[in-house]
Amino acid sequence: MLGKLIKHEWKEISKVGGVILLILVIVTAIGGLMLQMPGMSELLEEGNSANAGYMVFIYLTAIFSFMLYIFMLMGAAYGIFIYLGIRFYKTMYSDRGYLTNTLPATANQLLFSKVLVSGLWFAIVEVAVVASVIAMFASLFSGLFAAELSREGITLWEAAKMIFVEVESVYSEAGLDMVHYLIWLIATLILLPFATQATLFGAITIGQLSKKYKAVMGIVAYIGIGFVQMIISSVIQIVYTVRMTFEIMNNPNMPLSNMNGIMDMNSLLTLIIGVVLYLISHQILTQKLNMD
Amino acid sequence: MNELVEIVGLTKAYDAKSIAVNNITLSLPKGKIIGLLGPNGSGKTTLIKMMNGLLTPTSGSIKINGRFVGPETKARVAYLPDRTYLAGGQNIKDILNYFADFYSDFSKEKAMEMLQSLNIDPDTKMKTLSKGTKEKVQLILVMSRNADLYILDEPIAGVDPAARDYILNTIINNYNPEATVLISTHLIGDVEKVLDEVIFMRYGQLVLYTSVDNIREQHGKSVDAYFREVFAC
Repeated sequence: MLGKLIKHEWKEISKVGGVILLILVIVTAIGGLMLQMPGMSELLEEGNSANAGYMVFIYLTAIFSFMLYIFMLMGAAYGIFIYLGIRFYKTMYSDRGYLTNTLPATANQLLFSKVLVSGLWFAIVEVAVVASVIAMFASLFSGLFAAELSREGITLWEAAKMIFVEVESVYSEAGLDMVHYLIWLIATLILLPFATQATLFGAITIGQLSKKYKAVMGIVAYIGIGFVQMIISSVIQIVYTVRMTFEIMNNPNMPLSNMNGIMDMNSLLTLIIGVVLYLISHQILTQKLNMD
Repeated sequence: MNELVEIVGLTKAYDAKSIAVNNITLSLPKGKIIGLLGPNGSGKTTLIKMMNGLLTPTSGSIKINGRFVGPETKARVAYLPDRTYLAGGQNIKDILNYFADFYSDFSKEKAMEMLQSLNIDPDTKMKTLSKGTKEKVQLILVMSRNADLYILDEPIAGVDPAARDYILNTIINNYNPEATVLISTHLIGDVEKVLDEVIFMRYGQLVLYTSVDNIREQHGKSVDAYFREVFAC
C-alpha cells in the first residue's frame, strides 16, 4: 500500500515539479549561453569610451537580467514549497480528502508517503537551484573573465582553486571549518527538506483542530512554529557566543571556536521539530480527524 | 452472526451544545438495502462519516465485519460521499487505474461497461463534466467494487429524475447481493421502492429502525407518508 501511495503521489507532484525543473534548466541554459557569447568580455572591458552609451545599456540589461534570474530562483524554491503545502491541504483536508482518508491505508502510510515524496521534490528543486547558480558562475568565469584570466596566464581550474582557498581562509577566521561546512551543506540539502515538509504539513494539520478558518489557522500555526524555532535558535546562538567570549577572555590569542557547532545545532533543531510535527500530525489524524 | 455493522453507544459532540450523534446503538445486517432517513441536521452524514473514519467519535464504537474502523474496514466499504472528491485535472481512465490500484475488489471492466452505457468517454477530464455526470462517474466507481458495505450519501440529490432512475437501477443491478447498502437521502419517494429497511434519525438520535414492510403493514402507509407524519414540522 505504501508503495502505491508513493507512486501516485510522485506521479501527481512531478507534473508541477517537472515544469519548475524545466524552467530552471531553460533559464540557466539561456543565461549561461549569453555569458559565453563571443565579444561579451571585450564589451565589458574598462576604458572603451567609444562604446560608453552602449556599455550603460549592457550594464543595465545585465543588472535587470540578474534580478530576473534571482526572482526566478526564488520563485522556483518558494513556488514548490507553497505548491506542496496547498496540495497536502487539498488532498488531505478538502473534498479530495474524502478519497484520501477512505483509502485502505493507515494514517502513517498516508503521512509518510506525502512527506517522503514532497521532501524529495523539495530537495530536487533546491539542488537544481544550487546547480543553476554554480552553472551560472562557471559560465561567468569561463565567459566574461576568460580574456582577463588568459592575459594573467591563469586557467579556469587554477582560478577556482584560488577562490576556494580565499573563501576557506575567510571561513577559518570566522571559526568555520570548510570541510565540515560542505558536509553540513550537503546533509542540509538532502535531509532538511523532509523535516521542512513534515513541519509544514504538521502546521496545516494543527490548523484542522480549529472549528473555523482551518486553512488560515494552519498558516498561523506555521508562523507560530517558525517563531518558536527562531527563539530556540537564538538561545543556542547566545549559549555558543557566551562560551566563545569566555574562551577569548581566558586566551585572547586563541582562534575562534568552531562556528560549525551553531549551524549543526540549528539543523538538528529543524530535524527535531520536523519529527515532532510528524508525530503530532499522526496523532491528530488517528485521534482527532474531523473532515468538514 | 448475520450482523455486518455493530454500533454501540456512538456519540459525536463538537461541544457541550452541539451533539451531532447522540448515543446511538444499532446493528445492520448483511444483504439488505437500508435507507438512512431524517431531516436536515439529524446526524445522518455525521454517522456515515464516522463509519468511514472521516470523523473521530467522541465516545462509543463502530465495528464493521467484527473490526474497528480502520484500513481493513476501508478496504471492504465502498463509500459515495455527498460531494465531488475526485481531482478535476485527472481523466476518468486515470481515476479507474487509481481505484484498481488501491481496491482489490474494484472491477475496471465493469466500470468501463457502465461508462460506455452512459456514453461517457474515459479520456474526459473530470473538470469538463457536468455536476450530474460527475456524480454518475463517482457512483460507477463505487458500484464497480465488490464490497461488503456500500454507503451512499445523498446519491440522487441534485440530479434530474431520469438520472435518479438510472442511479437507483445501477445500485440494484450492480451491488453484491450478500452486501449491505446504506442509502442516506431526503428523496424518500424515489428510493422507497428499493429499500428493505429504514432508519429514522432526528436530533442525532435513533427514532426508528424497522423494515419497509412493517411500516406498510402496521401503519398502512408508504415510508414517505410515514416519514412526513413522524417528522411533521
